[in-house]
Amino acid sequence: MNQGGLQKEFSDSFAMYSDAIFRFCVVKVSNSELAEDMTQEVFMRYWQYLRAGKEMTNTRSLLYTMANNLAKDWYKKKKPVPLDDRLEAGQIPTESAAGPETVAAYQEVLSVVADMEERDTEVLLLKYVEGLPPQEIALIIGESANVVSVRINRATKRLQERLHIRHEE
Amino acid sequence: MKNNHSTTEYFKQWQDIRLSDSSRQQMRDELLEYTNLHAVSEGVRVGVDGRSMERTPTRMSLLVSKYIVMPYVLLFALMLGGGTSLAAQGAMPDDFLYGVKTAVNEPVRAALTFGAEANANYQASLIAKRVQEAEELTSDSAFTAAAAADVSTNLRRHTAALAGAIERSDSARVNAALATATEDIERYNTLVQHDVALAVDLNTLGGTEVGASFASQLATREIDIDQFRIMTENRLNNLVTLVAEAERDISTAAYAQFTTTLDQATRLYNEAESSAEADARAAYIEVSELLGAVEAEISTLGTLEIDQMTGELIDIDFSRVPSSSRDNATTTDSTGSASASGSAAIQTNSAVDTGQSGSSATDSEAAVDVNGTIRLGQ
Repeated sequence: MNQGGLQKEFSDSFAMYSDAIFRFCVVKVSNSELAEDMTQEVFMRYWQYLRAGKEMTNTRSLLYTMANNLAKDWYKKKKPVPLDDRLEAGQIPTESAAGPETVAAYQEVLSVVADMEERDTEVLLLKYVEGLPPQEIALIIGESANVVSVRINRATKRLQERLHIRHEE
Repeated sequence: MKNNHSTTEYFKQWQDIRLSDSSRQQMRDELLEYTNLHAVSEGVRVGVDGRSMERTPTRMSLLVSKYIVMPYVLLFALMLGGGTSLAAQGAMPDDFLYGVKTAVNEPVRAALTFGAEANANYQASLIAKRVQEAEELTSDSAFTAAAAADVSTNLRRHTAALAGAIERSDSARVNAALATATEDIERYNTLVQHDVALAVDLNTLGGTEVGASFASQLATREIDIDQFRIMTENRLNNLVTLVAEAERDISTAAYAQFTTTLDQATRLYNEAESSAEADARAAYIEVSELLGAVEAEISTLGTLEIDQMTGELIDIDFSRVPSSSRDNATTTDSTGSASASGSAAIQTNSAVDTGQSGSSATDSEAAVDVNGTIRLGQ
């Protein structure tokens, strides 16, 4: 395919998946600025992939897998950060950059996600927010479909507990 | 129930997390720029969401497209008449019939050449022919800008066709065609190194599957940013020499014009040094265009306006030309000074002081001595 055709495809994929990839990155790194950088990096890698003419079966899975790998690299480099610090600058966009509702959404979501296991939150996101089937989730995170199904069940329970506690408070 | 309800709400809020419009727009722009910087080579295969698309034409589709195109090509050739076509055979670039030769005669032959291997060989022979034409014209000093542009366009076309043929072929024997074509194009790139825009990108050949073994070899031969830099520097060097020679021969006004353009080119060159690769490439091309303009102007100045020059002091800021250029200018000019010894009357009067730019003034002083030699001293 020529440059124009590939660019069109690239730009379509960006329009379709950039938000989902960004959400995934937010869950992975709990920091909106870093998540933006990662999203951009994911799409750069995606372009390199397109450009190399590699065979591609599912663009969405590919993008998630790339994001997942990037997050893994990031974890390798990262030092453990205390939770209080993670809630500081950068994690949530300022109200000037995003609307007050978005900021509220970040706060709601991250306050729950922050003290949950990442492997729980990622399957929850992929399953209930993005609506991916367990088979595809399995492909992205590199587990079997069975493991994914079990994990979704347990994670849902744990999430409900947390939300319940929060509402009681 | 309450739990389930709040969970659903929670996920809904989760969905509200998205890129802000401004960051998305910015990211999109940056990514598109990125895709332009890292453009694709031709012949890429892509499948989307499970649909796998075969990009490489099959032998069958190739034959079909050939049968569709060929009658028109032949008809066109007949309309022009066999005589024209025959006469065109010996045409050189920039000739009227050269277009007939490259747009009719050769494509007809190419269309009649069956098999990817034969096609690759034919394209390689065309590349050799184009380069030979360019070399012939150069030796006759008739390699004009128009002819060069013509040759470059054709070479790029042949290179693309060759790459296509190599990709279709499953024989390793096309490597020979690839090797000779690579050599020929390299020779051509050396020939046109005065103008980077004319160079033919060898990467087109490197992207093919059979050429994979050559790919790494070719990658290093690509006209990269360093070569751009060297070419531009060489041109700056030459121009410093030319301007130095011209200062003895031309009017103050014309001379000032040269130095302004040279300054501009030097400034651009320095910008190119510090900017990102893509910008640098563009800037280098711009510099060489500027230099070309000055060279052309200097060469059109036939007559000497000696009197106006006499006693004039002219300032050139050589410190802004890269240091290697300065060294080069010294050597080139001192050898060139022998030819200028005939016009002694001017030389005695033209003293040039170039120590202009503050801090680096000490290392860039130049003076024209009685022999007309420029010394760029310490």
